[in-house]
Amino acid sequence: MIAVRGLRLAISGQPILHGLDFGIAAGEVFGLVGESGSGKSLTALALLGLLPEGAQVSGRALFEGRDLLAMTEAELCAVRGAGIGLISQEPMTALNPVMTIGDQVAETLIVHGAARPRAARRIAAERLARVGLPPGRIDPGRYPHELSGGQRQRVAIAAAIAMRPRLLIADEPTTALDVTIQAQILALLGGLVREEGMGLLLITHDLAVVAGMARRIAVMQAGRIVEEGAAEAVFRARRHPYTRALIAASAHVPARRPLPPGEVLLTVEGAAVDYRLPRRHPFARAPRFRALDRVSLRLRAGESLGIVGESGAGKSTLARAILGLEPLTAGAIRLAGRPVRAGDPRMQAVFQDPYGSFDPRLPVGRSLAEPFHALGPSRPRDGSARVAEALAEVGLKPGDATRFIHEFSGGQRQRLAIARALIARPRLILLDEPVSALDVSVRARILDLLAGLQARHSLSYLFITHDLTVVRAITDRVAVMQGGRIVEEGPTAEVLARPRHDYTRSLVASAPAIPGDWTARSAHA
Amino acid sequence: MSGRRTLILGAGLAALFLVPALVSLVWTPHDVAAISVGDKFLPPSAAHPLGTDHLGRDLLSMLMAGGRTSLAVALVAVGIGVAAGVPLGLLAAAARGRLIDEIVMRGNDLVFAFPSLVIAILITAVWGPSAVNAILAIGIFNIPVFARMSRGAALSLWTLDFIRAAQVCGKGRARISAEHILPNILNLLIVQATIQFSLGILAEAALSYVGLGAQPPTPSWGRMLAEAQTLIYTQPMLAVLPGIAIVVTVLGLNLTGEGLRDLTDPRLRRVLP
Repeated sequence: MIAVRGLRLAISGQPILHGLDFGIAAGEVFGLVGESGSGKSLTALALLGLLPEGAQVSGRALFEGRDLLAMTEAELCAVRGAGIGLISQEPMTALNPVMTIGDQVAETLIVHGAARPRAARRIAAERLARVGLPPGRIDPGRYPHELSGGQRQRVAIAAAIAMRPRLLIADEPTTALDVTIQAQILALLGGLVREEGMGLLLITHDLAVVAGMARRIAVMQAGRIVEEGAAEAVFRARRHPYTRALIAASAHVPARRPLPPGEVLLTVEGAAVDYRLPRRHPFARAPRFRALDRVSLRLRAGESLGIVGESGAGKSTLARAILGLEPLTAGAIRLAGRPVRAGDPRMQAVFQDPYGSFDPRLPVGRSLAEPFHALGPSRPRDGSARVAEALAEVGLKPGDATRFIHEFSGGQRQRLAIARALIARPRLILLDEPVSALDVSVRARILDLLAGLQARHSLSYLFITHDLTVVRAITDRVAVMQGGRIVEEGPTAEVLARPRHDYTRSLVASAPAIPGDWTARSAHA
Repeated sequence: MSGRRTLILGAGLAALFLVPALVSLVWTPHDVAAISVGDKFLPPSAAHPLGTDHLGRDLLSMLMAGGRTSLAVALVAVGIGVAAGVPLGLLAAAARGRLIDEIVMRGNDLVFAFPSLVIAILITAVWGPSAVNAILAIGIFNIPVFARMSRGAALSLWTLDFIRAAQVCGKGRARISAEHILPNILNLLIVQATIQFSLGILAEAALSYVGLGAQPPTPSWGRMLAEAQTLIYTQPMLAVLPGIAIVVTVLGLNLTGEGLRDLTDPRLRRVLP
């Protein structure tokens, strides 16, 4: 149905895509996998003629016999939305906040002259019902902010399929969603392909997602397709070294030996945090929302504890409470017997966003030395030597201290964040989604680094994440959170293999996974 | 137009009148207070390149020295706005959602609710017209502008991880505001200051025009306009020249602000490697 031949793209003279060839048949899911910067999203934009200014494309992209790359803007407008639908990554910004969801779905139909407004609304309601938002339950007259992230992504899908396009392009459609929602959205997309006979170009960085969805996959690296074929064959054969490296990295488990359990370092006893909500009227009592509901935990020296849960489960509130940044409504949190407070040098943190973790205006050496502030009068005299030492420990050069944060890659930034956490020689490091913004190969190296540092300094880790593969790779025990409570806790291997609580079970079942026998080393490999 | 070109054009236009104003601090071709009625309405000549006004004062000297008043009033007024507004905004952002934030922002709304020029007229009417009172009147209205802007910019910074990291290191709110927030909103403040500066010049001209700003014999563009008003048909240049001075300077400063904004916009910067 679509056949791409020799697709090349350069932006302001810099080559991005170096001659891509692929085709997608009707009713087929084609997975395009690659790490950030491989050019997978630009491939989708090139097909739709939505490239940024200064882009030069060459090659052919035959869609039902007509070359998309040779079309005029007017011809492309007739194809976009009607022949080819697009679903983008961010469900929070993909919808216009001041239009009702019904109108947004109907808009495509009206623009393409397929229906008059009244009929378009009726069709829109049908399409919304098709994606699991029946008018009886979710009124098409509602606005995007009244819906959850998963529901918004369903609306975006309804708008994309309103005209029954023959090809659907989904660019990281589930990356911003929780795992249980991700499983639902993927099932919905799979069903649409089967029942409506659409072709689906599924663009993602997540090998497990394509393994479960795609019939054929192409692996992209630096603007080239390095390997293409039936999904199972690609996973089993792994002919190209990059494919091998990617699959190995995604299943990577750092070599670590559990340390003998030490004394109890951190105790959380019945911790509760309430947030005040806006008052309904000026003299009403402000309603309260219990973000953390009597949570109790223990963490021993040298141990790593994972905290998993979906967005809104209270993970971040718990993290802030442990760091002493959130006053408790009830309960107590103690670090080695004393109540926690912000600025305790024995406890440091690494955060998720490798881009926002450092002050852009300071040389990184200054940022790294910041924890010395917590040491007060006992701050070391040899500050810069300690900075150099910490940089060396995370695999960077001492000279990097004078550089600025924008000069570093995402993985290097996360190394710097770890160096900053190490510098005050803490006993506990709280890691809040430290690898979820990183590519799989970078993620594997950061996990190795963390495992090595733990062994060397007998550190305790509190690992907050939504990603079960990370939990499996680096934690000894895991606590599962839902609705502000811990619903299950135990040794990681045991909880993930035999979950007792219903929620844990659905979490484990929803996590996309590459079938075990696909990745097992075959005899002739 | 690119940010850099806007900036250069704007700075050039503003300098056209602001540099002579600075020069007038040490030297003017003639004494601006010297009245010689016999020499009134002289056409441009070697001694008086732009001619003389109805009291025989040298027009070029008047324009140079008049800019000095505008400059001083606008500069001090912006200074008042920055000195009081920025700390208030940072305080409100650091205490976001709490009572102190509420008090600061509602106080801002209160000041914003009054038409600024009317209040400026009221102040000068009560305390008497003078350049100092004009400065105070204009400066007070700059405070909420800077407070609101720094609070808005600081709020978005407070959600970033590097601020959380600083909190984990035990730094207090005041210290974080001074060490991390302020340097990161500085470029926005500079842009806003340029624009407020041009508005200050405009406001001073307006106050002087209605006789509530600088008092004779202190020259001022606004007063020159007011005095030339009755002579507009016989001696149009007397009104046109200070008018051009105001328009060009305000336009130039606005363009400078726009250019600075384009050059320092974080959304544009983030694209760079």
